[in-house]
Amino acid sequence: MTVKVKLISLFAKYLEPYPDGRVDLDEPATVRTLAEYLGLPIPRVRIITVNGKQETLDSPLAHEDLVYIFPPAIGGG
Amino acid sequence: MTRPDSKQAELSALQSGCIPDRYQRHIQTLTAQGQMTLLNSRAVVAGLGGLGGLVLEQLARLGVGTITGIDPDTFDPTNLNRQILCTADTLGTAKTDQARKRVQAINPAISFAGHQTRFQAISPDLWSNTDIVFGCLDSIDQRIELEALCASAHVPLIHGAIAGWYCEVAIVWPESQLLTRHYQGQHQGLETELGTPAPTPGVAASLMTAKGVQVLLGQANPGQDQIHFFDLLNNDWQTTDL
Repeated sequence: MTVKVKLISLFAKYLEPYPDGRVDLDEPATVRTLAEYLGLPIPRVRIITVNGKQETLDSPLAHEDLVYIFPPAIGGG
Repeated sequence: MTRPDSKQAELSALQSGCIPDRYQRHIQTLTAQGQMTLLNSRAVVAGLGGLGGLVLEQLARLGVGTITGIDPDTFDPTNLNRQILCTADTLGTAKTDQARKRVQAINPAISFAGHQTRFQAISPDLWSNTDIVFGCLDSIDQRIELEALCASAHVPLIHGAIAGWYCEVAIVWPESQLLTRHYQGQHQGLETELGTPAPTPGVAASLMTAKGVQVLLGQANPGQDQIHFFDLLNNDWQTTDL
């Protein structure tokens, strides 16, 4: 299956091999499968959304899902 | 110099349908009744750095009638790139002192109180005697503490955080524990790795202030737990239910 991926801020570099943001995964797959496949630092993964709803690392993925993965931002500037 | 009677004079003018010039450009969007609500509102800005200074600036220009600013720090040269209250002339001075001067220079009708201390040291009475709190702090632990104080006082909290080109903004309704759920036990953010370029706090502070006005004017949806994410580099804006 193929999922569309958006990695925000510091995570963006992990998506550089996929300039169109589309990543092929073997089924079944979860968000964790995707994160590990891309080489993301799992402990720093915080907010995950799939098709606009918050999910977790263990949430299953389906073909054509849109996945956002956010790192933490805490600064007050 | 603050004129204690000018807020009442502005309220009386608005009540009689005479719009003070400084609010003329608000009325079509906010209405005269809304402007009176803002003048009668009380806001706390916790942290007067990049976000807090810009939130304070906008609250003063909006005519939020009573503002409290809290920050223990003084300005240093690393603040010059983004903190509106920091100039070459204000280096070494207390952020709360510059906040007071700025508010009085913009709108003498506003009552401003500055506390050069940590927000945890403030009397609990402050939180229960305000209408809204803006969280412009620098650590997750502080943000969670502030969330708990606001929940105890049943006061909405406006959250904003930045790192590099990335920012996030949310309304934290009392007892929602949105930030506790959001940070999920994490303690370290990205801003030390990515820095804080000048545009990012500007965007985040404006969004925070807009959300705050919506809360004060009853235009926000209580109980709706959402976080808005903005990636200014990639023009990607997302809203997520939490």
